[in-house]
Amino acid sequence: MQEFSQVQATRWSKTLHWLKRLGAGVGIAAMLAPVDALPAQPVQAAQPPQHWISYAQLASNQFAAWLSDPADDAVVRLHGWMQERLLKDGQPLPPPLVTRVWVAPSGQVERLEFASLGNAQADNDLRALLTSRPLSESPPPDMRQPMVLQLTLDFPQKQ
Amino acid sequence: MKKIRLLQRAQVLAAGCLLGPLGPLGLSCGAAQGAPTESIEAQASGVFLNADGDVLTARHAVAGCRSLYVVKDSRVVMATLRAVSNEDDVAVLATALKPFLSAVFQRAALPADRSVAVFAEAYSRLLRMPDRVRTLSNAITVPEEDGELQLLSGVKPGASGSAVLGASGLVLGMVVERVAGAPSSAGMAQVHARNPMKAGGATLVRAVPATDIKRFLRANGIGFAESDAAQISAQQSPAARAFTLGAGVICG
Repeated sequence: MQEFSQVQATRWSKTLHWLKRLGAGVGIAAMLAPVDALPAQPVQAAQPPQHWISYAQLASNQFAAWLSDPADDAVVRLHGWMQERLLKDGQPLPPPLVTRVWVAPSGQVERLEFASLGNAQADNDLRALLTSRPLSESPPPDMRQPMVLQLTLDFPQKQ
Repeated sequence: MKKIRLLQRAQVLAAGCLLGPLGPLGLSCGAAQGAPTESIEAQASGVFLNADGDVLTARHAVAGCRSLYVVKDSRVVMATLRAVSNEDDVAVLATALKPFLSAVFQRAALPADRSVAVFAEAYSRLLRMPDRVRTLSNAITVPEEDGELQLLSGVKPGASGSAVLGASGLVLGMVVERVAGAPSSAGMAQVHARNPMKAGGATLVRAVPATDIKRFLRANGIGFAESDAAQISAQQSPAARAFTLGAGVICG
């Protein structure tokens, strides 16, 4: 499979926000940011085919759902790490995390690359969350991989 | 010809509790709002219209219901009626669900002079369909010059409200009823001989065309997407996309 160029990768990227509902226990929700919220980048490559974009949206939203599952131990630990990092250690939220995702024809994420969050357990939890079950659809056979998804850790206002 | 609504008897299996036909979804059976359940049998189907969680379904599937629920991936949430059409068998439910993807309606009209391969199936059957990712079609359209949408399809009860998906993953319409006494199986055999589809038990099925659905949605200010760009490739399964877009509807 052919890897995207940086420009293509940027156009192909989606942003996920992990949201924490303050006072709502272990809930971590996620959503796609609007495309125009992405940083401006030079546009040189052609727009990817719509069915690639559609599949990337599916993957992003499914990842978001997995990251929002309060019944998942990995989500609970990840949430705890985020909270502790912010409230106890006083560290700012991590910068947006670029993940590269390869999806097998079965829909299973077979390879996942991202820069370390700086905590081995958090890295392991994130990896486990995104690779432990298949996406609901097979990727388009003609889609270039990896997909590049940009994860943004965030704490929104209380809802 | 007699028209048969494609509803299914309500059966809700939740934490070992079997509720009878049209029985309410009781908390005592472990099916609390938003809670995952062991097994849900929806009476009808629906399709997600937008990221807000609005679900398109058949009007007759929600008529007279004391309460409404939508099931997706073993998760049940309460739904409210957002809009009902007086002209077509169409209704929209509001839910708190966040779909992975929403329907994209085909912008262009269907060809009036030829059939096209499509996929339509009840959500409850899609849920258990073993070869979902390999199924390309299971029905064909019947050419119509008056803008109607009819299919030769083997859909079973529970398909009311399910999307009719074209090969490109665009929504062409929504299944509402089977027309009894329509084309004989002998007449359809020829059709199926030319199409690599499952011919078993296919009958004439009526669907509300995308044009009418979009008109209704616009009139009620309900967001939706339309396009002529393929949402899946030719090698991807419309059945898998139908499952992504679909949901079950339970009338309590």
